[in-house]
Amino acid sequence: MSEKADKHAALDQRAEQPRLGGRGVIVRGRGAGRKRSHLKAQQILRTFSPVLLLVIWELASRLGLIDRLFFPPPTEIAESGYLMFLDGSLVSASADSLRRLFIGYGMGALAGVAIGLWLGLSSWSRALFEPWIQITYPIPKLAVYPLIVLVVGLGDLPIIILLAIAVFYIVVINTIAGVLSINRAYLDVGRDCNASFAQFAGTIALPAALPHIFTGLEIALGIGFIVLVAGEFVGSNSGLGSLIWQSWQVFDVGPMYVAIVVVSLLGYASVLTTRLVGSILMPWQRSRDN
Amino acid sequence: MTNAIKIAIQGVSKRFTLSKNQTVHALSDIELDIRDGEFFTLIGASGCGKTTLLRIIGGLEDTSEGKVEISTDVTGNRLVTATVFQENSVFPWLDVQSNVEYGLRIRGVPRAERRDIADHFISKVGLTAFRKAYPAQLSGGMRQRVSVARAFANGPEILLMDEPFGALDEQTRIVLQEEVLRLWSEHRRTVVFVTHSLDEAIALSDRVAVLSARPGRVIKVIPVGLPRPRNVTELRADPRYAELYQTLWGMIRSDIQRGIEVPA
Repeated sequence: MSEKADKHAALDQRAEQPRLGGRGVIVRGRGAGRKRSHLKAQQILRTFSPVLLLVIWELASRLGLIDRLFFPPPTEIAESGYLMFLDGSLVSASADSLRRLFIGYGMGALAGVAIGLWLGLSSWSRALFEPWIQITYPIPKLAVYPLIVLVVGLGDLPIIILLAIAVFYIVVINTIAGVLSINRAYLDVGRDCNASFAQFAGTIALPAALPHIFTGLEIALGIGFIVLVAGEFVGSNSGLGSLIWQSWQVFDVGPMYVAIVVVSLLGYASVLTTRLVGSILMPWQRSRDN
Repeated sequence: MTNAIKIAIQGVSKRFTLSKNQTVHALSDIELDIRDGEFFTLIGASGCGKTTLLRIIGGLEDTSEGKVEISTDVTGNRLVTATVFQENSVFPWLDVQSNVEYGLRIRGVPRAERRDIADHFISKVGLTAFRKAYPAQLSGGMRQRVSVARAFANGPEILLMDEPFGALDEQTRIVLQEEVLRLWSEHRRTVVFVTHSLDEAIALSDRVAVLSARPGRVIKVIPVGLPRPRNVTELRADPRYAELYQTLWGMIRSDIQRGIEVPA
């Protein structure tokens, strides 16, 4: 880039030579305009790149380059989605899934934050309980689904519990890390003011760990959607996961794609919502960017 | 200032364990009496344990031997000591107002009352226009003013100041020193001040305790005796100021040189 600018500048050198004493002149600081227009072009490219992908898919499917049975053109999927929206099946499946997600995620996140703050602040409880978390963390959460069903029976409950467990681990680990990384000076201020344990947790550990906690909440959302859909594959007759599974069984790929798209849109929307909540709860982080 | 003893530091030693067979002897057999209402400063070469001694007085650290006795008339949940820390101890997630109110909120002081107290000290340190600002929007000097206001708002019997202006530029430091002197003369609380700056020690204190390099011992306690009220900048022209400076420098110079020649 700079080499290019120098070359460009070398063309000017003849005109400039009389005023400046050296044998040649290079010009610096004139590349900004070009760089800005590149940025703009890249921004436009970024916006339209998903559309481009859909167009390629559409053409490939219609021209028979990919098997239309497995990869129907996006317009067909959209049509099938529109019909499912009209007959209400899409809305009710989404509502069922979101309800489970909301309850399970909420329980797991609340428990994760509360227990994370406690363990982060108390080295004794950390010594006792952290190994439990570390030992059980690597267990694939889906593997305990049958056990949960044995204990609580079929229905929404085992999916919700599974979700809560999966979310809990991510959030508790991030919260502990957040509390442990708190600047020691903040804890000194708390002790200097004779803060109680609960006051430490509420007025120092929680706000100081919020950035870590929200990182955890965001990762947990991704995990949450995986667990939700997987749980609905096997354990439910309703919801988007079940919709995907049933469509596959009757070889009707349209609704399957529709459900996949809706899951990804809901996932994206919930990540954005989480970030919005985070920026509302952490106004001091916003002011830093200004 | 009365002559009653406010803080009695009795045979205080402190050792830190760095690893299995390495301990650092930070303080050795410190004996000091600090009087009620006095502005008392601890100076010494860096690493001499003056901050540790302050933290022990503030209840943030325990001694290895000895104890600190504090005479107090405090009742209820009021604070005996409040500390102004070195730097960046202001909570980034609270605005200026809430930072200054923090200690009062912890003690359950009603909202209206703590608002009044905080407003008073925020205006004293000249931050009224920044009441709603977050620390990230303030300069280092302004943040340290918040820290000073927070400690004063706590209304402690004893103020502990741990190199509060060490990280600030000269101009800001002078302004804040004068603010602290003014606040102190209004409220007449006992102040224990830690600094590595001889200028600061002389300008602010009634008495200065000079600590030796590690392990910190009290070399001497020197009364400053310059008349009050003092003007931090004009003071430097006073011949007694230069004399005190030489005396103090003479005591800690060898320590500092030793520290430089034999890096730890």
